[in-house]
Amino acid sequence: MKGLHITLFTILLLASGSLTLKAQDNGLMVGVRAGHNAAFGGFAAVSVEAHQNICSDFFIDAGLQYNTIGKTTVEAVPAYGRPFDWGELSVESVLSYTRMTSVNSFAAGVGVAVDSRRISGRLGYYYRHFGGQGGWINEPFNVYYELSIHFLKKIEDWNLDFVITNCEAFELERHFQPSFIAEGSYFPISKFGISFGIGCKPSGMFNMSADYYQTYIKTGVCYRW
Amino acid sequence: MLQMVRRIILAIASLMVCGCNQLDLKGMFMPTGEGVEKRFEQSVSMNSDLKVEGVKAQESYTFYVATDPHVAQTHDNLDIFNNTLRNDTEASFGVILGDCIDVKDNLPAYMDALSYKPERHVCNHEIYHVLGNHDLFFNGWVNFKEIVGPAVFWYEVTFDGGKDLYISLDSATGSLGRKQTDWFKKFLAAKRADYRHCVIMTHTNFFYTDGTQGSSGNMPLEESLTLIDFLGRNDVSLVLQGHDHYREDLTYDNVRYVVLGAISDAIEEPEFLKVNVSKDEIQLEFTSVNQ
Repeated sequence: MKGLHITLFTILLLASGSLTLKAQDNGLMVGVRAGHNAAFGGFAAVSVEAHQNICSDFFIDAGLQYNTIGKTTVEAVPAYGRPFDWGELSVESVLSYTRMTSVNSFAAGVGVAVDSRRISGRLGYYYRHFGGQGGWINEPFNVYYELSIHFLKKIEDWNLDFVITNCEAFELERHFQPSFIAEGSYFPISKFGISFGIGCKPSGMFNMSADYYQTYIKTGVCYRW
Repeated sequence: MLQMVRRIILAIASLMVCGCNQLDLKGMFMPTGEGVEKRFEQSVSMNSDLKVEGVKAQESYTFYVATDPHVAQTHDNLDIFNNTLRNDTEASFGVILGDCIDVKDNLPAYMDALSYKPERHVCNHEIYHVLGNHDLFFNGWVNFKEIVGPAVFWYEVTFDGGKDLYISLDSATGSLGRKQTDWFKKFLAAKRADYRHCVIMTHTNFFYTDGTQGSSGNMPLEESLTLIDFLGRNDVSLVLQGHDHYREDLTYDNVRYVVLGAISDAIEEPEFLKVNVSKDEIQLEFTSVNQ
């Protein structure tokens, strides 16, 4: 099992991926995160994310993450977006597959995303189907959302955002399980940059007895063209 | 505009600070008392092996389960449950799956409602109490551990030729936490083979299949996925949950997961559960309080 973990880790490090930092760019990012989880203890994760413009208004974000808690996730978000005076409006689909222990989890959803100079958001519906040899369970009543406030949009090379979301990359959660993230990126030269962030996720929130669940830091190296 | 935002923030802040005796608004967003790790430690300090006194029964026996009584000013439905349990000579014990109270400091009233009253009851059956999220409102854990006892415990139902295992888990803040999870996994893996049936009792739900939970919440997804895999591999017979107030009954990996409807007086269709345990099966009889 340990050998499998090392193999996956190596494949992920060698694989290519990316993250969009500007919607009009193609991008690639290799990221790592480390943190503490209330149920699993310390963890680390490595990911590759990509943003690719397919044609004028179509683009896709895709990525893969391996987490040492025993979770592997693949996600893809194809979208169609149009620019407006105030920003960009897009319609997207969210596709996610997670393998954890012996359980497979599939999620598929549709939603809209808006991106303006100061604020951006995503809102959609998704359906989750999970199980394996023991049977299958459907969770058909899920909403995903994300609200980002951009603090440094006026500075070309920097991004600094505060995000509330239940659909962070590789963490498509139930709607009452949000994460709070402060994240940013810096491009010292036009094609290469770094991303960084810290996040936390409570348990039992809106459950009326909130508790600590997870905190992490993350960083990544980005290439865009 | 700015003034309006300030007013809204002030109103929310005031509600979070003051709340009322029923809704702990501050607790919706941040811990208001001991977290699950501390609660587990304190459960262990109350009882180092977490074992509480069990029950002697026949090879086939019956127990009663209710959940979410949310005792406030009245507890009529809980009285019906208590009378039914304590007047059933075939029954062995009772279980309440959490959210015992709905009003600050109301735990003594809840315990009194469930007490044995010789003038009304035939049997003084043991009743086991699981911790729910409402029981933690306004730092309610302080009262719970003093009046009720530990939040994590296990007991045996023994009969001629065998025994069954019952484990109560603390999921009141939506996660079992690391220490409890480690204990539970080691304990169940080591003990399971010694018992005929194994029943897990917990408050918060594993699944989110019907939308009835609204914002009430489940465990985080990755914790649910790990636990259902573990429970299946260890041949758990039955998982009893409360919290949602609406019944759910499904089987995954040969483990039956039941969310029992609430017995609160505020519920339109309150119910409780009569569980008949025998050598070959565990049979469930959902019983409406309105019958």
